[in-house]
Amino acid sequence: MNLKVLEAINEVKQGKGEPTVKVFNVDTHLRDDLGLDSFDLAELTVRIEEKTGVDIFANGVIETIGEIEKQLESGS
Amino acid sequence: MAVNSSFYINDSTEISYDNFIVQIASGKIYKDKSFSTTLEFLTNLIKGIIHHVDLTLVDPLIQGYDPSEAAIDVENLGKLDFNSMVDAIVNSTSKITIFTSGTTGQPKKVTHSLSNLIREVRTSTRHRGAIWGYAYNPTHMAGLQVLFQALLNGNTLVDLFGKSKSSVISMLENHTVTHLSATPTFYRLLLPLNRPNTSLKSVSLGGEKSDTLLIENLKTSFPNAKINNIYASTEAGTLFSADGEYFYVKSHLLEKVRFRKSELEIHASLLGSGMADQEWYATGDLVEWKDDDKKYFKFVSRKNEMVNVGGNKVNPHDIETQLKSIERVIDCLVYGVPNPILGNMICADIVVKDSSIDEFTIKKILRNNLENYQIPRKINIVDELKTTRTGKLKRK
Repeated sequence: MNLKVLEAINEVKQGKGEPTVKVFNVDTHLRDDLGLDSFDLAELTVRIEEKTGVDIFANGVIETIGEIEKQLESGS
Repeated sequence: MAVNSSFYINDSTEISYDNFIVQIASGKIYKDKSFSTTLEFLTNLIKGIIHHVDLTLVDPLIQGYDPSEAAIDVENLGKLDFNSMVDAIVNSTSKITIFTSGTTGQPKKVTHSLSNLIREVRTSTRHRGAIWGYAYNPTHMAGLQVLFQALLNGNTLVDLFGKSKSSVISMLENHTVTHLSATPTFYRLLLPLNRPNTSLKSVSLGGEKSDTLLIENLKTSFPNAKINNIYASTEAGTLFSADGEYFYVKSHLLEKVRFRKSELEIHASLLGSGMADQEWYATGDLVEWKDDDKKYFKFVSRKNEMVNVGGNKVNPHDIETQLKSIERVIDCLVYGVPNPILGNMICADIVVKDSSIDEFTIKKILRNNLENYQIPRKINIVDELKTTRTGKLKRK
């Protein structure tokens, strides 16, 4: 579990006044499991880029945690 | 005339035209209520229209609006069929009130006659059999335009509003959707597809400025579709369409639109009521002419500083006013940052009195007075405002 990603997701959740998440796995779906809408996804990509220097959206739409981690691995 | 058997389909419901027409013939009508399902909303809307009831279309997202939810009983119109339903819609005296996205804090009401709303709807045998992907919010202008275009031609609506990428793709395929109209943001979230969709014949974009990369991606993903750009607004409904970036002024609109210092102005007769009282309404949209005959033009930018966030217009000054009203906030600057998902994302730089207030507390306060799309997604606490900074942090 990538802690920077967890931190970024929880910053988005806190900004919405929603409870933070403790754990996730590669199959966790950003929209269906974490309740992130398109505004949240936009914010999340910016926050992850600030923390890691990687634009996770560079190769297209991201839907799961696993896809984020894959982008981070190939981008860093 | 031959109509499709289904009027509306979503992941769990399918309703035929026969069934829908029975439901709208009689029963209760709510003049202003937010509905939990699109089908309930559509049923109430069309029932209201064919019974000549004035309606206010309430989006559940509108804050500070308290619908009375009082139901009225209407007379049973008896045995309707498709053609008599269409006649009843076309001849309805209903006034429909919708809300603009709030440019001055609270959203503004605009009231349209039904004839105004269906002005650009085209019905003919050419339009029969279409299956529409219904991607817009049904309570807003673009959603109404698609609804009437589909309904008056006996087409099917496949509800895609708010669905995830994977369900949109499977619904497009499973229901062999032929027509799709949505914002550039919707398409940016949808593409690229794993395999091209060959059933789409018409793909339309509206609500935001599109770009050539997106158009190219659409052509690859929907190889059999004609790509159209549509210019429409809450104030005036659909006005222009184009198959590329250049729009053409149709002859019936020649007397009703004009261009002053490159800004598009719309004649009051095309507008809903509740707008400014002047004869001409300045849209704030700046255009550029293709050639000297003044027929083809493209949109280049907005005259003012409005930021388009996923199709919603945000005025940075409204948000700055709210931020500055927060105790311990000394100064602020709100701006849009280009974003591949939303077109633009709202950000704010703020100067605070002391560090006892953080980003999350500020967002919590803003949620009381602003729409979700107006709230800055990134709030940076800075020592001083860098108002001269250029590039992506500069507000246009």
